[in-house]
Amino acid sequence: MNTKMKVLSLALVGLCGYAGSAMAVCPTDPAQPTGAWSSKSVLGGALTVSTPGYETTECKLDASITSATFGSAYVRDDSPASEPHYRARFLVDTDALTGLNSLQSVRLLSANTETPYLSIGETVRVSVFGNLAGTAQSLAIAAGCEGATSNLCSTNVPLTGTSPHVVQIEWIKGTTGTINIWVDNGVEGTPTATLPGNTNGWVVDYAVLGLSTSSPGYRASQLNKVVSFDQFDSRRTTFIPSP
Amino acid sequence: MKKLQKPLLALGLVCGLGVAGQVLAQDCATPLPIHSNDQNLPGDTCAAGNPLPTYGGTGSPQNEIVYSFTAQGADADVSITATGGYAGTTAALFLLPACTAASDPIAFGAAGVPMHVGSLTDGSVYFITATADPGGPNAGCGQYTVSVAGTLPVSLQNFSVE
Repeated sequence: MNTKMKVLSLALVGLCGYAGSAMAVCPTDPAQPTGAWSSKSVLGGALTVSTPGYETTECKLDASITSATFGSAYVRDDSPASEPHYRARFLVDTDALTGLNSLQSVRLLSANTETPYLSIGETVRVSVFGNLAGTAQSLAIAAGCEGATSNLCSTNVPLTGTSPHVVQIEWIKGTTGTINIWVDNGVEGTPTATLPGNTNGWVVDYAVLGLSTSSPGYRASQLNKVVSFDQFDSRRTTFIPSP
Repeated sequence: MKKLQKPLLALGLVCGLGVAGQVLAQDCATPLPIHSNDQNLPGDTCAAGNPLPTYGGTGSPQNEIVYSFTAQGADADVSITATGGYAGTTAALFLLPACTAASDPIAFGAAGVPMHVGSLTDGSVYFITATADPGGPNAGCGQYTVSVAGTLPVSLQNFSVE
């Protein structure tokens, strides 16, 4: 089981440009059959593969919202299957989102279940938003946690320094479950943030990477601005180091 | 006389609940009332809970106190003034169309920057949260006063039977 996910993960890394990989030829479409992702969804948005990527990779995935009334642009990975333990790591560049403030948010990643529990289908999700002044960005991490307020565990992690930022999440199912988050932090033993909670009602069936669930404020102020992604890698249990 | 007593009794109960609410109720289930031209409503988010862990995609692990009103020609500037706490952060207000973690905020204000409340749907219930900058420390909190300049719903200023 673990091998399967890792193989696909490498393919996804290859999609976004894995240095030294024989797969480091940029596909024109990130989704199958030319790309490695299971599918894509572009509605009021744009999704392109561009070159070069980050950290010597060949190519990256560029996403933007182009409609003021709705918008999403993301790829989907269907390789997870009722996973009770899930890790995902990716690079994201949000530098183009100038002036991003607290009314402006957009989702970057979600790991989801096909069978929502307590009306929550996103097992764990990562969004980006800005502070009141529009001078700093943070990631909002939220996960289904039965018994917590709104049945959500959540925390914010500020983004400091320049992009790309390296984000890794680990989600563990259990009545005493855990969500760990590393942001620009490659030390497995010291996550940037940890959320304990009852995650037992959820699993991970698929993951979505890109821009989705944009707020009205985001669509009003961040239209056509590109957020780039690279080096997505997902596994069941083992920590994902930098390639 | 009997007809007058019932409304007065009802008004008394409402006022009584309102006063009790100032102390106990501050979440989505029992939000505090906020009216046109309210002045210096005090609060302490350090002593509050975190009923809304997210405002849509904006994370809000900071504590908040929830107010609500039914819009009737809403056209007001709502301001928040920090009176203590808020170390390393800023007092903030958010206007929400619903009191749920999935609701994206409509507007915000900060200390020195009033939040304009307008262009709302008459008869609909809206929520205002007093909190701290979501982009600041997760534990950011403090003491504040909130004031309203303008119209939210019309409030009963005086009532007498002669």
